[in-house]
Amino acid sequence: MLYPKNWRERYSEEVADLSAELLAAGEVSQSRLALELTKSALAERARVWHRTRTLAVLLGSAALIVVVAALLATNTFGLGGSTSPRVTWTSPRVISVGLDSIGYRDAQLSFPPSFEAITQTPGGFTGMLSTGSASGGTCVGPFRDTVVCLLPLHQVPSAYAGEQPTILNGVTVYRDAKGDYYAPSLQVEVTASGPMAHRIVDTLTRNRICTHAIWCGSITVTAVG
Amino acid sequence: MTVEGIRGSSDRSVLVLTSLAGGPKHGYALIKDIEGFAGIRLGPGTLYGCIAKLEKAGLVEALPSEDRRHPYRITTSGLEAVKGRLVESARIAEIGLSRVAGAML
Repeated sequence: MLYPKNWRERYSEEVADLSAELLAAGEVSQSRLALELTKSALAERARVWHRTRTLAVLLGSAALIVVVAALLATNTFGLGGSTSPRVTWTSPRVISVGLDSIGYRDAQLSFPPSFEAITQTPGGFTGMLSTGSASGGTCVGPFRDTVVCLLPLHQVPSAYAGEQPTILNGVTVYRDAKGDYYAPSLQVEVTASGPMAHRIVDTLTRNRICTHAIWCGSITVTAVG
Repeated sequence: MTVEGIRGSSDRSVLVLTSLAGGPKHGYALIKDIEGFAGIRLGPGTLYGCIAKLEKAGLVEALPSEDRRHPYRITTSGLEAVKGRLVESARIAEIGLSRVAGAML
């Protein structure tokens, strides 16, 4: 019973016949025969196990390659094959985001890893989070998809005139009717539009990624444009 | 196990092939023959471990049973394999013997 099933089915009868013949001829004792058969059976088991393990390693490696290739193809690692629109202009730096937070000046926002973070706003992205200059009206919607912009605050924008301060996650902000706000203590204005806009802007905290930065983020950086 | 593969195989496989090169034999005859020409006594488990590997490699094949005896014969591939292995062993033996002889002068 110690032998592997296939081996047993093929050779057990022959081994039994040979053992009986050797015993009958007095060529071997029963105890010695039992020991020898046990040893051989274990060796056969080990051989089958080794072969199976080798096969398992090969299959596992192949599966891993397939999974990694699939992940790359679906841009899970942010390395290409994105279903989001690609950046076609040349000057802004475009970065695929691997983590879920970005820091700009003294502000920090959290967002889905599927979002793209860029330094300027071209418009039309699915899940875009932008930091940087608002010059040229680049962060002015309406956008079809969720777009969040972190803009530098130099002075209180006129749109917020007369707003009362509220506290958002311990940070004093001034909101307008649309839900955008500015945070003087963090030197930023945050504008947003789209289905997930307010879920993202409400994650505002003081920047823990880096201090007093122009732009930084704990992200996986892959420039694609 | 191929002709190349047998070069790294155990001496027991070579013993079985060498024995079968002298003609088809069943298990008991193989054990006695090998014991006779090599002074090595294989147990039934060890013998069939070799036979299983050699049969799977196509170097030996089973013949119809006679009573409760189960004879095997070497195949053409088996003959080539064992020939290659024995030639190599003979070459090494020749070199080794000449060196030993030189050292003993």
